[in-house]
Amino acid sequence: MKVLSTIEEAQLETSNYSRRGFLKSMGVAGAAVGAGRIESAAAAEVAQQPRDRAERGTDIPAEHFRIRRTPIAWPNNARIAVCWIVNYEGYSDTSNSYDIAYKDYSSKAAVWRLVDLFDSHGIKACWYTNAIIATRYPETLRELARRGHEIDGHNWANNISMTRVTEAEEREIIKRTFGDIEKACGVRPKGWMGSGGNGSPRTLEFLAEEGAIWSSDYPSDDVPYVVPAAGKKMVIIPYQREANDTQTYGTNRNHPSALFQRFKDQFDVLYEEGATYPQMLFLPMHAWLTGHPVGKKALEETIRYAKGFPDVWLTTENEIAQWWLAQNYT
Amino acid sequence: MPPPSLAEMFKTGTRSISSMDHAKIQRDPIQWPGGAHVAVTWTVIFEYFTGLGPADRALYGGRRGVWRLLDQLDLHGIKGSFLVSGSAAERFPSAVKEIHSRGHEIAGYGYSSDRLLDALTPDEAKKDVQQTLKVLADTTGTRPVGWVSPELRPGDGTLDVLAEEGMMWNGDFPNDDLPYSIRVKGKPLLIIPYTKESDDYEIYQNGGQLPSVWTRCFTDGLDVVYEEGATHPKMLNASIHAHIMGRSVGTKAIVEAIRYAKSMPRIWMTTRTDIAKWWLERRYT
Repeated sequence: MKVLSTIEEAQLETSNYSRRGFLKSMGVAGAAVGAGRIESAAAAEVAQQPRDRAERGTDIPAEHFRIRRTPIAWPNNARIAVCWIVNYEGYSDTSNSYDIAYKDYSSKAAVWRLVDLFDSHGIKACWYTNAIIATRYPETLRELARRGHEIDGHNWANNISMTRVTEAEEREIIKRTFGDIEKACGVRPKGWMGSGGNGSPRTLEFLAEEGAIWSSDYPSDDVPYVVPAAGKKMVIIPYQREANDTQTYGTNRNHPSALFQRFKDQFDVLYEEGATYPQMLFLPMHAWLTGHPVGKKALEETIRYAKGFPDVWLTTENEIAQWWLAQNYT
Repeated sequence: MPPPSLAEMFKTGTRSISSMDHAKIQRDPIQWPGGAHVAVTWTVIFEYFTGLGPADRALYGGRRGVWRLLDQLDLHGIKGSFLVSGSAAERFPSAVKEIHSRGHEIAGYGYSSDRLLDALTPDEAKKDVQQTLKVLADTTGTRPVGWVSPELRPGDGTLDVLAEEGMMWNGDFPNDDLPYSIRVKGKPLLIIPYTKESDDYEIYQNGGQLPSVWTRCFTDGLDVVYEEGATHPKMLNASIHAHIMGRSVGTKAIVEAIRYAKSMPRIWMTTRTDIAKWWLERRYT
C-alpha cells in the first residue's frame, strides 16, 4: 500500500471534505441547529458557522467578469513582464515526518541554491512564503530581504487549508502570516497567494486589512486587473500554473526539461502578442522541488532564455502592482 | 477523529520529528575524502510487504532483482547501501547473506514496507525496530548501525528507540544535501538526509516515465552537485528497488548512470555508514 504523496494530499484539500459530514459523524447536526448533541455554546457557534468553502458561497464577485481592453504599457514599453516565483513552504506539526522534512529541504538547502542562482543573473524573485519559516528558519528570510528579493504571503503553513476554515480562521491565518514574516525580517509582504490558490469570497477584504495591494489567487487572465476590496483597490495578478513545476514535472516526474519547454512555448507566443498588447509570464516553482540539484539546469535555461530578448521587463509582482496602480489601470 | 484546531496547526517544533534540532542551517564547507566534490550513495531497497502491499511483485526482488543488482554493483566495484525489510530477510535469507558477504552495507528498513512506524502504537513501533535489527543481525552475523523507516515515516519515538538500539545514523529526514548531528537520549545520532529525486518508484513506477528519465535525472543532479562541490561538497543519492528497476527493464539505465558517475574524477562512491564514520572522524556537526 502506497501512502499518499504530498501532492495527492494537497489535492485532497480541494475535494469533498465537508464540515457538515464531520459534524454528522460526531452526532451533531450540520449548519442547522436541531437534533443532536451540541455540547457547549462555543461548539454551537462553531457548528453554525460554515466551515466548508462550498457552504460559505462560491460566487465570484461581478468585478472579475468585467473584460478590460484599455490600452496599457509596461515601463520602457516592454513587450512582456516576466517574474520568477518560488513557493517557499513548510508543514506544521499536524503533518507526518516525511512531509515536514521534505518541505524543510526548502530552507536548509534549496533557498541557498536558488537565491545564489538568481543573484548570479541579477534576478530578484518573488518568494511566496509560508510564515512557518519565520519560526523555523528566520535567517533565510533575513537573507532574502538583505539581498533585495521580494517576500510575499502564502499561508502560515502549506498543510493549512484555505477552504476548510471559518471566516474568523481565515482572517487569523492571513493576519498571522503577514505579521510573523514582518517580525522575522522587517519586510511586510504586499501581496499574497493562498495555498493552492485557494481562498474565499472574503479573502481580498482580509488581505486589504493587512495592507496588501495584490493577490494572485485568480488564474483568470494574462494581465492584471483591479477589483475593489474593503474600499481599496486590489490588483489581481493572475497566477499561471502552466509552467508551474509541480504541474510540469513534479506530479509525473517528467524530466525537468519539461519546465523549460512549457515556459519557452508560452514566452514565444506572449512575446509576439506583446508587440501589440503587453503581456506577462511567470515561472513558478516550489523550492522543495526545483530547488533540488536536478531542477537547476532547466530553471537556469528559463532565465537565460528570457534575458536573451530585448524589450523584456524582468520584474516582481510588487513592481507590477505598483506600476498598475500608479498608471491608474483598471 | 475531529480535524485539528487552527491553534494546533500553527505549531511547529513541538514533536521529535519536527524538533528545532533538525532546523539547523549549516553552510560552512566540509570536505570529503580525497577532495571529492560529491559523495554518491547507490541505494538498493530490498523490501517486502506482509500486509496489503504488493508482495507478489516484491517477490521478484528476492528471487532475481537483488541478485542482478549485486552483480552490477560488483562489476563496477561499487558498494551499495542496501535498505532491507526484516520480512525480506526472513523470506530470502540467502540473498541477505549474499549482500553481506559481498561487502555491501545493510541498514534496517522496518519489518514490512506497509507497516509505517507512525501508524503503529509506540510499543509496536519499538518492537518493529528491535525485531528488524535482530533478524538482520541473525541472518548476517552483523548488526546494522543505520536505519531508514519505511516510506521515511518514523514515529515520534523512533529516534529514541534507534539511540537505545545503538544506531550510528538515521536516514529519515529528506531535508538537506549533507548530514547533521543531533543528540538523542544524550547520545549523538547522525541524520543522513535521504533524498528521492532519483528514485525508481517515484520516476518509473509511479511517474510512469522511462527508466532513461531516471538516469537523466540522476546525471543532471550529479552535474549540478559536482559543480557546487568544487567549493561546497555535498551528497547525492540514487535509489533502486530490487523489484522495480532491479528488473531487466532498468539495467541499461542503471549501468549508464554508474558509468556517468565513474567518468568524473572527484566522486566518492560510498555507503551511508562510511559517510557517518567520516563525519564523526572529522568532528563535523
